[in-house]
Amino acid sequence: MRLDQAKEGSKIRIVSLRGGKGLRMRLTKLGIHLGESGIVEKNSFGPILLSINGNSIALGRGVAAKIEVMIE
Amino acid sequence: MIIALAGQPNSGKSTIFNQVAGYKTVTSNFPGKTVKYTKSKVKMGKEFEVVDLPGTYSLTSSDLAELEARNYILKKEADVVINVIDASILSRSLEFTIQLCELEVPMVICLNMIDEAEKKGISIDTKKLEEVFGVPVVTTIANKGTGVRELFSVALEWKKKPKIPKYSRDIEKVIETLIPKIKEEPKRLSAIKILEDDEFFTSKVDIAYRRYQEIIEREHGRPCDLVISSERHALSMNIFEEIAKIETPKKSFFDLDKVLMGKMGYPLLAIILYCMFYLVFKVGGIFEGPLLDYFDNLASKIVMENTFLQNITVGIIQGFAGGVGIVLPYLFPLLLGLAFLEDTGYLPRVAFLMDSLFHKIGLHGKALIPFMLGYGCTVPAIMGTRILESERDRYIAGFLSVFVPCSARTAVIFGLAAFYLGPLTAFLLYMTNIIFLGILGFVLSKIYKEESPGLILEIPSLKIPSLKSILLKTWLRIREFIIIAWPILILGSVTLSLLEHYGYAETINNLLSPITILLGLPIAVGTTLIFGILRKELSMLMLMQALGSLEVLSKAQMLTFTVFIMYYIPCLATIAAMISEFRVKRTLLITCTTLVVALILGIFARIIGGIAW
Repeated sequence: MRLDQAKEGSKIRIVSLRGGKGLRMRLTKLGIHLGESGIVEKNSFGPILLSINGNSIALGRGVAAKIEVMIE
Repeated sequence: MIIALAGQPNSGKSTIFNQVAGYKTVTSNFPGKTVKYTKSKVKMGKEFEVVDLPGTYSLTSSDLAELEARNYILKKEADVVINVIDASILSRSLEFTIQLCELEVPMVICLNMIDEAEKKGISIDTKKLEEVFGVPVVTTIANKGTGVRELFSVALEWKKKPKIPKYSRDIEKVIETLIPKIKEEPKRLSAIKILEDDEFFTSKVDIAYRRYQEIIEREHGRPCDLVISSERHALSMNIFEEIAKIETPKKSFFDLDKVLMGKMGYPLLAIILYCMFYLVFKVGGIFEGPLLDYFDNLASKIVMENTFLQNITVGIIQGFAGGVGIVLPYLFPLLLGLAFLEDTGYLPRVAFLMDSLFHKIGLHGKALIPFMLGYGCTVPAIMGTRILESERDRYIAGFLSVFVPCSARTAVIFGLAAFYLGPLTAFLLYMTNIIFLGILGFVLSKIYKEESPGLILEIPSLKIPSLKSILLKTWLRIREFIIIAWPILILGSVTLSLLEHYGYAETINNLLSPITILLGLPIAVGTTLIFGILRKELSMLMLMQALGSLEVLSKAQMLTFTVFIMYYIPCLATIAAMISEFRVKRTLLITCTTLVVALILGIFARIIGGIAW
């Protein structure tokens, strides 16, 4: 499923990053790597808040739609 | 001796810098680039220089700040590099540390915010970390000043390069075969960057490098750059597991972020902003009136006859008064408040809240900050655009904030429109302004189309800022105004005094008559428009002088005049700030746009006024 469809509070693992090399680089720089697991802190309106390894990252809905995740 | 601070954004690099830096700190650009860094001389036993490099997440060539930071370190301009790490997000930060090691320069590691890490239940074995990288590790809590002196005394003595952590065997093998073919030092760095397909490095070598990338791609079944970045990630995770233990963090019973970033975040944001602006207007208002009275008195004492020298003196005094009396009283509390909000980490949370709304005008949430500042004074608004990451976003936000009515224009709106035409008119002027900003933002985002993949923003933990850091930040920004904008203000003021002295007012009125006639205003209004460029509220005072009384104007003319003043050419201080932020060409474009917009809306106002009254 896409990250923007994941429920608030759910624990997820990142399966794939769609989009070009540029987007991939911006995400991995902030610690959003393949296989990494995290918690969807917020997903109601506006951007999504994802917490990975103790680090909170706000992702616009368009960006989140390009991240494929699975629920753990 | 030069010590450079390198690290990821929000690692507390600048806080460490501000703890030791003095008021003589200078901000400069990398030669020919828009990327800025700060440096300061420090005396701590012996004298040395500290350079605060731009905060970057990695050291690739695709990001200008990253490229400049990397080149600065590679040129060996600094004798030692301090890698500042936010200890509470150690595992991610180590990816940057590994890249720094690859630059092969003497390095010291600073584990900052060690208290935050403890709160998150992370305990770090610093001895082991020292062994892994072969460099000293110093723990600090920068906003409290803890450990900062020790950090620098260790860095001053350290001269050895770090150990470079190794990737998995198959990748190291490719790196080893590639190294003998490279001439430029450091060879290992070039080899890794070539495998990452970094154009900056691949363009410099004369090797059929694709072959080497393919070896790795065949083995891993993924693009080579992705393999290397995953390797680096895996390596840092391994190091992290080796040196750190995570226990379940102490759950605090009250999570401030749940409130700040939840639904309650919006009313809270409104309250925080209201308090800030109330404070700014209050503090500014206390000083503005008395200060201006004082200078006006001074000026009126001097002019007894209309001599050349006296006119120049009056010009200087008025220009000086504009800075002391109007800009500084508002600028100081505004910048202080902004620095406070910045250092607490509240701004990224505002960006989070406002993101959806700002996407509609092609920007993202952070752009709210310069807009809000614009209601006080356009100069800090222009400077405030710096908090946006991309140059395009900074430019659009700056472009828009020029049209936000500043406190000086507010004086005209209240003094003329609200007083003679009623408060409803003033309210409507503000509302149409907001609608106009929305439309302009929409148009600009269509013109400057840049692939904006959306918000990707780290939300750092909330911090209690250090007073010294806030004060130094405010001082650096105020000093920029004093050095750049103020002299222009004084110079402009002197020029206008001279125009008056030689009786050129009539010539100017005639020159500007196409505009005044088009707007249906009396020709004598011409000079007041020029005065308005100097200081917006001056235009109203001059209007009174030029016409004898404001009641000479019809209601429609008052409306037209107010609208024109609201939108036309920004004041000189703003133009100076724009030149320093956006360069001359873009400043000219913005200035011309304001004139066109002011003319069109002015004519509209004339028509509407003609129908209404």
